[in-house]
Amino acid sequence: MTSGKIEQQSCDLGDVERWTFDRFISGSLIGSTLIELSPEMIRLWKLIYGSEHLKDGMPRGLAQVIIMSAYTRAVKPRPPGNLHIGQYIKMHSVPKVGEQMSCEVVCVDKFKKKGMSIVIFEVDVAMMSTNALLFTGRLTISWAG
Amino acid sequence: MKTARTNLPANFQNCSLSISQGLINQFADLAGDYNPIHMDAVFAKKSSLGKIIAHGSLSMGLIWNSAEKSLLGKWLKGASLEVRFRLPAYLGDDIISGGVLRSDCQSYDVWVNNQHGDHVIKGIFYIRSDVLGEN
Repeated sequence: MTSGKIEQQSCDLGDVERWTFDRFISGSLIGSTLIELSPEMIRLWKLIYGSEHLKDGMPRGLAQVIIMSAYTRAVKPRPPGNLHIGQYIKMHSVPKVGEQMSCEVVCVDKFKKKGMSIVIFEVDVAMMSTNALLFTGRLTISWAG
Repeated sequence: MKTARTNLPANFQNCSLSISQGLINQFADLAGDYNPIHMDAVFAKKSSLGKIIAHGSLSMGLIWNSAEKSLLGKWLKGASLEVRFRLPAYLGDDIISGGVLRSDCQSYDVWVNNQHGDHVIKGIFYIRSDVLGEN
């Protein structure tokens, strides 16, 4: 499901030191990873949410799962207890089953608000073969450490 | 009921889930997110939330499900969704999603509520204006 080379780039940094609020730099690339839209992902989605209304191809909601997967792979290790407090997703296009997607995770902002340490990440997911943008996500996380 | 201007349905169909540990585990496998707040009762009990919660994305998936059921694949090109997670969905909760067409006739107020009628998620689902005429 992942490219060893690109995933390794994410792991090299993340495995050495846990991500803390202080380590994030606004505007910096955190990491990149490859994700394949596998039949197993679609099977699990249908198992959880049902499938009677779905046509063939990717259920649109899987976009948020792919965005979350890219985030969890690129930003690690994370402190336990982080809270996901907001999300934005923009759909541009839908990949085909078996398509490789290139995902880039950027820390776009961080700030303190009402006693919480907030980090905002943007995830761009593009088709590996053409580099065409598939979907964009913005995650707002209350960082625990 | 359809609206005269755009032929969009006035409401999203409701979708629901009962939050079980099995469901959370399936979603963890799907998303690759094994945060102990979702998986470990001892850890969750010691946290500020006090017990296991579902992934926010699991609840958010219900909104996409409602959208896909209601719009039947139409109008989803270029669609976007912006949400705030208002409350956790706890293990044992029953959650339901819905949506109502806004006055601009090209976006929906959307939500996921728990069994008490409290908003777990609240947000707006936007349909790209230039695709409205295509359907």
